[in-house]
Amino acid sequence: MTLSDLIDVLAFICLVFVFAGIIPVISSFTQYLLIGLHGITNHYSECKDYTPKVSIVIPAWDEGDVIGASIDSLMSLAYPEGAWRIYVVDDASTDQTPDVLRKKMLEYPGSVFHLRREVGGQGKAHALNHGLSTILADDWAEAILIMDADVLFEPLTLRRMTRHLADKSIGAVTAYVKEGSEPGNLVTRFVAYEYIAAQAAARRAQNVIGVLACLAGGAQLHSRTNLVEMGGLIDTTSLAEDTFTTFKTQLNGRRVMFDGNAVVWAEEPDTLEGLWKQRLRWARGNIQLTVAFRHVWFRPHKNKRLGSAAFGILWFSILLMPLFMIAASIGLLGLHWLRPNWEIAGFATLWGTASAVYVFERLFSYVIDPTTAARTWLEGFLFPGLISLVVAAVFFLPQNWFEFLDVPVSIGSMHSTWREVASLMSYAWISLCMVAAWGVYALEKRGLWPWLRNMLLIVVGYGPVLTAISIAAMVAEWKKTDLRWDKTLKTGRARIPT
Amino acid sequence: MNRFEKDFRKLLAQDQRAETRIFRGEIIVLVIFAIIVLAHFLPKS
Repeated sequence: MTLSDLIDVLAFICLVFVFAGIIPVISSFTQYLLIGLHGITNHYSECKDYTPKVSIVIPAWDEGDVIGASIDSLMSLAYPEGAWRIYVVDDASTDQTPDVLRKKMLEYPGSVFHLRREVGGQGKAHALNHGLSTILADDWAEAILIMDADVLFEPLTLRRMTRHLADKSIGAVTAYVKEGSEPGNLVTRFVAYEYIAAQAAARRAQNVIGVLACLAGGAQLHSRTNLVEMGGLIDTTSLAEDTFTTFKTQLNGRRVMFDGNAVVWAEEPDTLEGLWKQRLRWARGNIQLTVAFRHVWFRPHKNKRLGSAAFGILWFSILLMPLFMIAASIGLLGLHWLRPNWEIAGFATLWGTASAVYVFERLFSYVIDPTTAARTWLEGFLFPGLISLVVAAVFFLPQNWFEFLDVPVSIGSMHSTWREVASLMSYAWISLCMVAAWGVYALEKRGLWPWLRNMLLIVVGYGPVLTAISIAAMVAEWKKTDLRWDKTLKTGRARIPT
Repeated sequence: MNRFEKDFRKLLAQDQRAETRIFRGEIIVLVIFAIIVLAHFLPKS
């Protein structure tokens, strides 16, 4: 093999790396294209007026600030009188949770039950199993709603969920969890915008392809049969018990449904530190699940839907997104030195596709959830960060506007132009944005002022924070860091908008 | 038809309309998107 052949092979590998960076973008776009079909092929035609007796199980570990409001919202449900009961599993709380529960039991006699665990803090799944063992021990409940202590239900949400269970092929239904912090801040508004994409959009698309990746832990309704078929227990071996439940339901041959019109409101983290803790748990859980269900991926003969190529690509394009981004950076930098004529084509394809999909998704978010999209228009716009937006803008502007960059510059013994330096920096930024995002998180943890954190977050972007967390999760799983249940602190900020 | 049955039908129709609105909205957004993309790639005179 000659040197020229070697360069050709390396350049081809670099080009493949650049195209790997486009995979998550195309996957996200395809998902958005499927959403419209949900207007034609949804589950509403199979729904019936079905109002089973529902036992609601709420794990609560030091949730004294939020549990009272959640119970009040549940007691205002538009649902047949006496057809629902609330079981709060007090996971050895050391705050005022037991006092709040005693008060609520007196206020709503026969509807609210206090189940106390004397040894707690082992995680949500253990608390849920304590509640489920009590609920399934008698045959009153026909359906079981699993929710979080901070979640507030709109009055019609439970009815919107139970109607799907009239179809016995449905094992579980999940609702659209919206961020409801009042007052919110930049971080909570980023989360609110993210949930349009991650829930209202993605889960509708998943309904269309007939397989759901995750039942929201904050609001999932199961038929009794479904939970009994799973042995009446929630998986306790991972940090993603809700996704395990989702997969097990579907592997047992039952379908799982998302109802985007069934809305609940939750309090999400308002700091990067809180967000990091919560999302690291989710991301590690997803890696654990990917390994645990390794026999399912891309094997449609074993499970038609979970094993389908479409679902596999959707799943892995999110799970491996940071690796695809790093590959794209390496690919572009490699092409710069190996094949400059391919470099421009690679960059144009990557940034052109990403920019087009960015515009499409922003516009479409106003159709999917107009109120949230309007409330979070700035966060939606700034989601990738100012630096990435500037790179995209420069890509679309006439290049002769930037002739002022064609001045020579010497860095050590290297001679170049500012234009070339800017190009190389923009290629590297696809990966470096994750390092920068980690830096903003680390600075906030060390007491950075919130206004400065906000400024840096706007420059770096919220998207890079999420991918940086995915990398951190991969590292933690690789190093087998202790599986600690890091509870997200809830303070009672969430409100149902009037 | 009792009150609950009436409410159920009303709610179902309302939610189906919301999904249909998303379908129509997607078509409109796709048209706008196609115009933007074409405007970028069409040769400028």
